[in-house]
Amino acid sequence: MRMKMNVWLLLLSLGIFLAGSSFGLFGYALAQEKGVLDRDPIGSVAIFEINDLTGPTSDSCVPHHNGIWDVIRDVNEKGGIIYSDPKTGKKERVKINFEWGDNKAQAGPVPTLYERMANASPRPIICYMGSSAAGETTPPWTQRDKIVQINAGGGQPGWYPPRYAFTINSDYPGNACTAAWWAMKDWKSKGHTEAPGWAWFTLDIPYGRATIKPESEAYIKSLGFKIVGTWTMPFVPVDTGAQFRSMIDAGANYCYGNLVILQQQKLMKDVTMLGLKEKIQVIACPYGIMEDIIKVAGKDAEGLVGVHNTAFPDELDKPGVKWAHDITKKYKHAWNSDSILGCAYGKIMVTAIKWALETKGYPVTGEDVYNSMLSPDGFDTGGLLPPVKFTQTERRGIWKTHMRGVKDGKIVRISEDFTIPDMKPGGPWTPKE
Amino acid sequence: MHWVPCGTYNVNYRQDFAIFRTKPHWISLVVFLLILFTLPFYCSRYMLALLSTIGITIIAVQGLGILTGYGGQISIGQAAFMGTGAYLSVILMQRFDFPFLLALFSAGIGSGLVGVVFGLPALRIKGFYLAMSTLAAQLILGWFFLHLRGITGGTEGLHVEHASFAGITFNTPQNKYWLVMVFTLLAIFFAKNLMRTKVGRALVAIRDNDLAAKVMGIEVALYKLLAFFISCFFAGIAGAVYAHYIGFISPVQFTLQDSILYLGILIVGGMGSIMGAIFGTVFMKLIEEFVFVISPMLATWFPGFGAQFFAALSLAFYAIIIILFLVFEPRGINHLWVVLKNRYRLYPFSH
Repeated sequence: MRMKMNVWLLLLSLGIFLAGSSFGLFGYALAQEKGVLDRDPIGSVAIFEINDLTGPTSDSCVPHHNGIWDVIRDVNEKGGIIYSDPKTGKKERVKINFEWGDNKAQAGPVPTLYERMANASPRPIICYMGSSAAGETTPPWTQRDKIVQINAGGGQPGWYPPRYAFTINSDYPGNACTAAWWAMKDWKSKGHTEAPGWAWFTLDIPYGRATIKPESEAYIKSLGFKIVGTWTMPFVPVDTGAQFRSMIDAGANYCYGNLVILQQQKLMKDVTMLGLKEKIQVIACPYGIMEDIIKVAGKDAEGLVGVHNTAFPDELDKPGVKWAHDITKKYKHAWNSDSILGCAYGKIMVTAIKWALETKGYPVTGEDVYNSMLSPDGFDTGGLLPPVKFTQTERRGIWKTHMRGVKDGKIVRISEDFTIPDMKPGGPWTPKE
Repeated sequence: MHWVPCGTYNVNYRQDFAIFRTKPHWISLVVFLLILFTLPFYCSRYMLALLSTIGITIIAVQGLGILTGYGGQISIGQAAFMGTGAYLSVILMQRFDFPFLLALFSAGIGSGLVGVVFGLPALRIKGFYLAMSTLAAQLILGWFFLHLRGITGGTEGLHVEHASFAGITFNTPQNKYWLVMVFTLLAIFFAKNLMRTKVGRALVAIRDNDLAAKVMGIEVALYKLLAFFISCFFAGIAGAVYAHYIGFISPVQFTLQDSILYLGILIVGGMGSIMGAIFGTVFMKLIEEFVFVISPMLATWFPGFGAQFFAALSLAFYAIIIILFLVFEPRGINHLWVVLKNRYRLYPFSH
């Protein structure tokens, strides 16, 4: 009995000691945090961005830009990036200099925009390339200059071969695989036994075509689809009826394309007007099933499904989503899936810099940030995105996607998570010569 | 009318034809070249990138100037011809082991020949109809860049190895700048001299009145095709230099917007003059840079408006300048330069 009592006393004292120490440490940490804010920042780090802010893809790119800018402004207003210096153990803080340039989705302005911002003082250590034209042109330069490059788009030159460029999104051919995986499940659930027809409905530009790869086609065929062909449309389509009729005649049951809201809304209006929704299922890429589709296409958007990978804007129980929501509202920007992506890009960039500072101390170089990007634990975005992790040989950070659909005027999740197959050229899905 | 400076007498044809006639001319040239080629020693990489892109654009616009400004044939396919040169040079070097210079000139000639094919309609049509034909060139060539995946890399584009010549590998911003500047100066020199030859005068005659030119014995068809060849040769060289400057080529780099921009540069600079292409390029690129620099600043000062507002405002600013030029100086910056030069030469006897 006495022995039992002693054990309890021992445990109680241990508990009190631990609680006291934690409280003390917490208090110390708070005091340090407060102290660091009283001191001047130890220095600053630079981030820059080249994005399409006024060009044809700006409807998606602007919210991404706003998300990054909001995160950086918020961090700076709270004192900067606060970190524990590895040499002194003291808390320090650095401010973030942020500069951006609008390339209007064109490759022409990229060299001068890049050289001006990449050679600014302090020398940037990380950059964001929101436009495909910038994301695919600059990887050799960022590798040369040892500046970590974050790409939004999942076009292959942005993530392969592995360099200093990292893609924080699912890749374009991988998105098509997700769509096909869901479509086959949907097809079978309707009791069909014959092979369904798959049609590509694309813009005849690199962005549109970037999803149609030997790898993605091999995967789609392996699911049991018959690929019936590729139909193209202009960037601003006036009438897509002829294409729809032609692809249905060719045996298409599902059609998928790398399109943005501008084209996607027209597709939905046309299939509704022609009464073809029962005959063909339109599937969108992530940029085609953002919240704006409901605003633009109205009731005609009903029935649209699409691939996506971010959290939903109303999932405020997730800490990352709540954080991003508050920041976005603080700076009076629109809150939607695109702003979630933008905040996620900003969060990852700031986290990578913070890790580099905690490993190396100030000043940090792009090489230090590069090493942070390859952290074996990956990045926790608090639920904004699926787990983001890079390796020495893999520059695609997201491998999980899911399907969404427009139902009763809302975008809702319609599938569980899907693991994207490896679409690397020369990888498991590259057809043998 | 170009006035000769007071006290300058041309006593023979050689003197009359000389581009650099007087001692101050030669001194200016030497100083200019000295500054131009020593810039990499004291200029930032940004300045070098800006000057290099200006240089490449000057080559392409000079070519367009020969076709449109001197020959009177409208083309809105210059970027596609540039792309042809870029892809040809890279493919010849990487697949057929051509040395850089040979690949570059082959790309120029290849692009020129492609230009002749698309120039054939010029024998029957002109004006806006010809513009449509060259628009077809832009679309068809763009289609090839995108769809001939096995050759052009399709959407993935092509990685470009560094150019090397005479034991020098052009792999730094500095020596890439020198490479660009050498070809830019050669292009300007070639264009300037071409316009002083029979070919140049024939092109001007065709532009002014093709019927009268034919009556005078000028082979209109031949010279029109020659104009297309030369223009696309310039574009091909510009494209090849661009490919080796950037290090990566893909279809997004040679778009219709670029072709229209080149035409805009020519209009602002002044059609039918060598200096016009240079002035236009420098002016438009500097304006572009100015708006690139000013937009983020304004967005930071007035965050309430948002980044897109200022980025869009910069576009409006860009457009207003072009409109003002078209309204108040339709002959382009070059005309202002000529007026200024003549005023100086005649001073104080401005009458």
